[in-house]
Amino acid sequence: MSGQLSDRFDEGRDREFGHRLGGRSGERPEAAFDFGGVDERRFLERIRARMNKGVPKSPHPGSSIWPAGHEEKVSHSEKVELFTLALEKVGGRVLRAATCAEAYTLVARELAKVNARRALLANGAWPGLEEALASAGVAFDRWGDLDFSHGSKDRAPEVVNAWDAGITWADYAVADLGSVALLFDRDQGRSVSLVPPRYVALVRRDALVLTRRTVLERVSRVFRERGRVGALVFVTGPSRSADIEMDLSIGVHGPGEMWAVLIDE
Amino acid sequence: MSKAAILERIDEALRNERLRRAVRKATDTFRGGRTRATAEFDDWDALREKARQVRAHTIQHLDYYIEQLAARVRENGGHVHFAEDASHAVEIVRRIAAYHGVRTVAKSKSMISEEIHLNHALEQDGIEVIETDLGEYIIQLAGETPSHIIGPALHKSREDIAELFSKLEGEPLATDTPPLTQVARKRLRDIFLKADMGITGCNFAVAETGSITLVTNEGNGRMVTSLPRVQVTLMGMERIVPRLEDLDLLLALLTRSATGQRATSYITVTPGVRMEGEKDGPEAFHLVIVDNQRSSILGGEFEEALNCIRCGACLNICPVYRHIGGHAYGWVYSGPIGAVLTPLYKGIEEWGEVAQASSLCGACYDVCPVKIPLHDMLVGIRRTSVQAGRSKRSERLIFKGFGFVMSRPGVYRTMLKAGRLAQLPFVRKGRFKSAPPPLSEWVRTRSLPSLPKRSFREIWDKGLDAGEERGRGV
Repeated sequence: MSGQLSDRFDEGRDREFGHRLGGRSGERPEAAFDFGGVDERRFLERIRARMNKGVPKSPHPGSSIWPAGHEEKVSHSEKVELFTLALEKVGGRVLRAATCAEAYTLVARELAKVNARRALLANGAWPGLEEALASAGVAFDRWGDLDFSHGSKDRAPEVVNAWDAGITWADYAVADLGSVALLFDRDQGRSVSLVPPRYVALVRRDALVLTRRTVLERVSRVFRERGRVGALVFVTGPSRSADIEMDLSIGVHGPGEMWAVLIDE
Repeated sequence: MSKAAILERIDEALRNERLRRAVRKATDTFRGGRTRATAEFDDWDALREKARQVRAHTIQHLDYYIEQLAARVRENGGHVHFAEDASHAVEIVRRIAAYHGVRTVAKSKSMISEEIHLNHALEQDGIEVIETDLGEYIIQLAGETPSHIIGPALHKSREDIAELFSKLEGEPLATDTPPLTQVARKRLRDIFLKADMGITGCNFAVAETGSITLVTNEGNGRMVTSLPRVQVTLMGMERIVPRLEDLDLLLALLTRSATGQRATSYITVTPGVRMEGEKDGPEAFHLVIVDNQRSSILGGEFEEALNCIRCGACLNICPVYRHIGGHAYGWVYSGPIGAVLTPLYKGIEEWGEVAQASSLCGACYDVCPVKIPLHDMLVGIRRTSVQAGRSKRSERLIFKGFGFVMSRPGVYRTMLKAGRLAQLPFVRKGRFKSAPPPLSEWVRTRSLPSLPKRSFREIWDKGLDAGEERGRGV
């Protein structure tokens, strides 16, 4: 069966296809492997043959749903208010702190209150948080110290299931929706905010913007500057499902609790 | 597929009272949420129009945007594969799995994988394939197919689900939601951690950045793009937005129209493959761009069907869907959009009958976030279906006769007079109680008034104030 597809195409196209697969670095071993399917040019030609040539091509019509200058028209305290309303409405929890130091103590205290024993921390320069957790009796692992590759001991269910909370900085937060946004890289691990049953996001003042559109525009700018941007995720409240008779249940795969700590500095 | 098969499935659905209750409850919940969420905007219709324009622009330039997307994905370090039909797509994924030595696949929801029957093919290669969306997991255990785009298992009762999970756990489970959810969480957690490959669908691919957008509530979409070492994303070739910021508009419309949420719990926008220094996320990313009949819709009467963003609002509002549920439509897509897409993807000759599962009330168009004229398309498909010779011979004869009579006033008047006499044996109190074929079937289930003593034309000729003569039946 597996030979069937390539038999349909002549050798020349197969060679071309194999070459194309190499993409940027032609020496990758994938370049020699035939994954099947058709050549890009052939695929696009089929589309072009069908496209209605009589219809004039329109420029991009624009997609903003926000009035110009909307970010500036709303004050920071209004954004805090909006964010709180929106996140609490979907079952998230909002905490406030004047300074980072205060936020660390607050998080450690609140985690101890819910009997959290072990936390997973995204990379960051926050010795204050580590001290606060230690004195509140909450152990922690640093994302940077883990070996998370397949088959490694740190990926074993007993390790993964021992975390009671994951703590990260939020790269952005959206007041209108009560979302925090994370831009993943070596420090901001994808799993930290996802795998533990409780997620705590620390939101600094300048991370809080009014709309999701603003976040997307900023990430787009990062992309244009660096030519690459990591995965972006918007988190809005706890994991939820209504797949059993439309009955809401919380914490299906992702965290069942989401806390956002809004920091005034 | 024959008309008889469709009617049979519809009859079956109508007889299943529990199914009808479940579908009504689910669609009511979705509709209520949608109504509240759209009311937040002063001008929801202006947003719909904007989204329609963005979708139309994208489809008009589809070749350009696919080329841009593919180039960006490769620059990000991913691979791009092109599948003209279902067999290409299945074969590509099988070879990717073989290349990477994959044994376990964790899948998040992908309607296109339902189109191409992917799971079965992978299982034949000895690969374990697990659906991780709770609803999909339930129907996979039951050996069924999704009945709704957003709520694939909304036709299953909690008793059904408890029974399935009890079998899995080897002990009887209660029917409460939280413990059932915990069973799924525990079992699927192990799958996420051990799976070599994640397979996802794609809500939107961003051409500008080469990213894939996944809209989920449970977090399984994040799991399968974070934990397995290989990620495969299947996308219908029309599922593109030009720029990153365009997502804001389309996501605002999608989540509100689908579940009434302002934002779902998670919205992931990922280039797939991990960045340098990242400890999690896939080491290899493969994007499979699938045509599977989509190009045959381009440039034609039904092109706008490609604008669909798969929110399911037209299913929830449709009086027919609400009565018969998703499975009666016979293929992956159901409701008004399914009644349009199924004949277009599978062939009008064979599947044109599906377009009959509609009352043409137009409610689907009113709720569509990208303003697809679904009711016009349903009429269009019925017309094309008739032109393709799908109507019955007797039906064609009747309409031919109708055309002959209606275009000749003298013949029409004579026929009307003859009809008044001919109807006498069948009429009681101004309504047909029975009728000769071909009308017999029609009046068996419907109420048909008899022909009046005088036609409107005769009354009109005499003057409208002709007293008691007016409008009374036999």
